[in-house]
Order: sequence, then structure tokens, then C-alpha cells
Amino acid sequence: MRAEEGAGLARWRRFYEKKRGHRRTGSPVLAMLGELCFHGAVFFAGCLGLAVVLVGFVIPDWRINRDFIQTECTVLDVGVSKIEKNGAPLYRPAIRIRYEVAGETRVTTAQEPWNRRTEDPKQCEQFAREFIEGQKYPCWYDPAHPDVVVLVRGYHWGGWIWLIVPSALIILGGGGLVYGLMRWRASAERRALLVQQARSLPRGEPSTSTAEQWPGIPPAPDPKESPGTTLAYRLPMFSERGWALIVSFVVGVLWNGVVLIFIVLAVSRYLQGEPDWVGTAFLLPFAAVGAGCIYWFFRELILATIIGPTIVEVSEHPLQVGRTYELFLSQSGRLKMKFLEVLLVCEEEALYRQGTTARRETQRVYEDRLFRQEDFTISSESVFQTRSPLAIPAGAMHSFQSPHNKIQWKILVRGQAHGWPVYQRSFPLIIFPARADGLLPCPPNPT
Amino acid sequence: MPAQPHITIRLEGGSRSFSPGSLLRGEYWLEGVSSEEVKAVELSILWYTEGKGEEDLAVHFFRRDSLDQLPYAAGRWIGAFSTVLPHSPLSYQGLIVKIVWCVRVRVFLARGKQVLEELRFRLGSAWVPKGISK
Repeated sequence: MRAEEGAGLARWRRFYEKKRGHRRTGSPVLAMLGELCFHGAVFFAGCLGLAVVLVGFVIPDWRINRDFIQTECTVLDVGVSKIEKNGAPLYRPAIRIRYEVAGETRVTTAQEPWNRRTEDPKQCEQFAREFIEGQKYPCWYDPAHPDVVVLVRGYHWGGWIWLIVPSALIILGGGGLVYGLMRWRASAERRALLVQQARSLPRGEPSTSTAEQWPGIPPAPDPKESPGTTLAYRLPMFSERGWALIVSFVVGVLWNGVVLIFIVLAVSRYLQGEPDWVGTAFLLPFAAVGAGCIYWFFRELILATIIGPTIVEVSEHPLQVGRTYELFLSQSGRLKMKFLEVLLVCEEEALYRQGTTARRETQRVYEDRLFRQEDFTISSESVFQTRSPLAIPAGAMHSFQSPHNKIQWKILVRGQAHGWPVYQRSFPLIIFPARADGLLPCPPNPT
Repeated sequence: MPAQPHITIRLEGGSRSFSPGSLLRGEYWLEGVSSEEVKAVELSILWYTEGKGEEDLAVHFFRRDSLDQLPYAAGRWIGAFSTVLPHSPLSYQGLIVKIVWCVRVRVFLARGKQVLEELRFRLGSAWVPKGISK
């Protein structure tokens, strides 16, 4: 029996949680219950808020404009009434009217929309002055309660916006509840299956798609997207040098920007005849680091530009385990090379958490030198070019990719020019398992 | 003390090694429990990763049954399964990444308890490529 879950001696459940490496103590049942309670509370708050907004504003606003019946009224009295809200005075127009409903004369104060309530009594008087005593105006009364009557109609969309808040709470809380209930007591396999199905749903891929035919293998590139000039497919390049250039630029600008402010301050004090020698001495090591950053940036810039473009093409792509292909290398620039070599490399990569930090570990498991040449010159007139067989070892593992684990094959071009450090350029490959029928997801282009 | 079920998984032909695209057939037996004690039985054919990285898992075949759906004979419940295995990922025992294929049976007992058993098998023949040239 491999494992038994949920069984054990009777003991108190842990209400708190501790991390033990990548393991966690505590009860997953309580954690799930807490999650469900939280989402339930958010959902309930959303429903409550929605009810308040609907009953208090949206439905009355809707009914005034759809259900209320029009009639004519005479204005008897125009004034301003004062109410208190949260201890602050609030003013609203108070207009008494007389109107008839089914032959019965009624006298009441017309209801005013909420946006005509104001803290400014003068503005309220302006609202009220729109109506003159003794004159006739159209008004609308509620057929269910004829004493409820309004003089002003129209939708007040500003109030309808309040629907967004409870709706968002309902969606978030409800979504969390549904997701939590789906996971409740669901096994790791069932959860994984749900995630797999959810991932394939939006794309709507047909069952013959590469991902379904070759699970766990990164998607194969279309050879038509990157055709080579000598061989069928030109591999895209990944250069760590590009990142180093960007990092050196950002660090250099930030560091020297701050240092420059202090240099300007020190120089201005010196010009004012009040030199601060202690401060200037303290600044010197920082300025030296800034100069180092500038040197670093220009060194990276020269390295990135002096070594010309490296082109790697292969006779087919994706590749298949156990087969031999042709590889083409082109290196341009004006260089006196110490050496230049091409390697076929396979690396395992694992992502894991150590405490709260995400870490990545790479392990090279295969390296085969396909080509090496020493002490030669590359000039702008004669670009260095060579061809080499590319044999994928039989029985080797194919390319693999999952969220936290990866097996990556690549072509590595390494070289060193006299007076310069070693440079390295990487060209990822996708390698499929060997198949007796030799079928691959993308038909290879003829060379 | 409630009874503890005993799970046995058996692959047809007795082999633990399969080619990509081949048919995997087998059955599992569940002994020592009654249908009232078991809420459901899940059968999965899946791969997961082992090694340095966090575990990744993908299910190739999944079925959830109640005991009423399984035939009962000679004091045990018998569940049969059969699926065509995919072309990838192949089983792999790398240095920091390992890919393990298995048949897993998970039994959901009353009161929220679970018992599971898995039988590993090998899909394909992919090895860590030998050689780091100096």
C-alpha cells in the first residue's frame, strides 16, 4: 500500500501552519474550509450589497421611468426642507402639489431625485425655483401608491454604477466558492484533469493538435516561419550577452544618476567657496563604482557588436532521436579567433521553492562537440562558414517541458577572439522521440 | 475498527514496459470492504515528475466508479481498464528530472479517508544520453 490519506491517530487539528522545507504542516481540510468561508463571506456581502442597491435605488428609478402614470398638477407651495444625514445638514426642494387620480383630488409633497439633495441651501433654492406657485406642470404618480409622485423623471446612471461593486463581489466570491467546491475532496488526479481540460478549452484545438499527440513536448516550430538560406531551417538565437548588456545599462544609469546628484552638490559647494572635503572623500568610492559600471556597459556593448551575427541552420526541424541531420554554421565579424566550437547539449532544468524563494537548477547531462577550429581569422570579406553532421544519440530523451521541469536540447556556439573573453550563443532545439513510422508533427522541409 | 481495503493492480501480460502508442490493459482488485464503506474508486493512468523540481502531474486516462458499477467475484471487486498509451513523455530517470508513469487507484472511504495504490510502469526506452565530451 503506497499511502493512506486522512487516516491516523486521533489528535487536535493544527489551526496554524509551518513550513518544513517544501512541506507544510497544518490541516488541508481546515485550510479549504477557511478558503470556502472567505469566498462565501465575499459572495454574501455581494448579494447583500446588490439587494441594497437594487431595492434602494435601481428598482425605484426604473419604476419611475417605466410604471409611473403621467398627469397634471398645480404647484401650491415651493420651499426648501432641511434634513440631517450623519450629523450634516442636507437640503432638498419641497414642492407641494395638487393633482387628480381617478377623479380624486390629492395634495402631497412631490418626491425629489436623490441627486437634487445638496449641502448648499442656495443650490437647493435654485432647484426649487424651477417651479412657480400656481402654475401647472406634468407630474407622474405611482399607480400602486398614488401619493408617491414626482415632478422630474429620467434615469440617474450615476447611481446605477453602484451595481458594479456588489456584482464584482458576487463574481469573485461565487467563482471562488465554485472552484473551492470543485476541489473539495477532489483527488490530485482529478484536479490535474480539470486543469488539463480547462487549458485545452479556450484554444479549442482539434484532437489532432501537436500538444495532444505529443504531450509534454514543447510545441514544434513551423519550418516555414524561419527558413534558412543554406539549410531548411534557421534556429532562433538566445544570447545571454544581450541580457548582460541590458542589465549593465540599467545598473549604470541608476547608479551614476544618483552619484551624479551628489557630485553636482559637491562641485557647487566647491564653487561657492565652501568645499566639503569629507563628503567628497566619502563620494569617491561610489564614483569609482559608477566608473566601473560605465566600463562594464561599454565592454558588453563592444562584445555584443564586435562579434558579428552567428547563424545556425539545420536540415530539418523538429528533430528526432536517433537520426542524423546536417548543421550549418556561419560566423561573421572581423576577428582573430583563438577557437570556435559547436556543441550539442542536453540540460535538465528544475524549478523549486526553498522557503519563499523560487529557485532554478540546471544540470547538463549530455555534451557532444560537433566542431572545433583553432587559431584562424574571420574578416568582413570572408564570413566563416562550415557544415557538420548533427547526430542525435539513439535512445536519448526527447525535449520535455512541464510547469516546473524541463529537458532542453540546444546547439551551443562558443568562441573566443584574441584579447576578448569567451562568448557563447545558444540555439534551442526541439527533439521528438523516435517513431517507427518516422512521423513528426510538422513535415520537414526539403533541403 | 473499520475494515481497510486492500488494493492490487495487475497489468496484462505481466510486463512493466510498454512502447509508445501500445495498448495498456489490466485490472485492479479491491478486497476487504463492502460497497457501503466505499464512496468511490478512481482509476488514473498518469505521469508525474520526481527529482529536484516541484512535482508536475498529467493524467492520460481517468475513470471514477462506485463499487456498484464494478463486478464482484470471489470476495473482491474487480475493475478492468484499457487505454492506448501516448507517444510522450517517455519514462525518464535523469539526474535532477525524472518522469514516472503509473496506474493509480484511489479509494474514497466513508468519513473522508482515502487509500491509494500505484503500480509504476515504463513507457518507451529513453535514457540519460551518455557522454560529456571534454
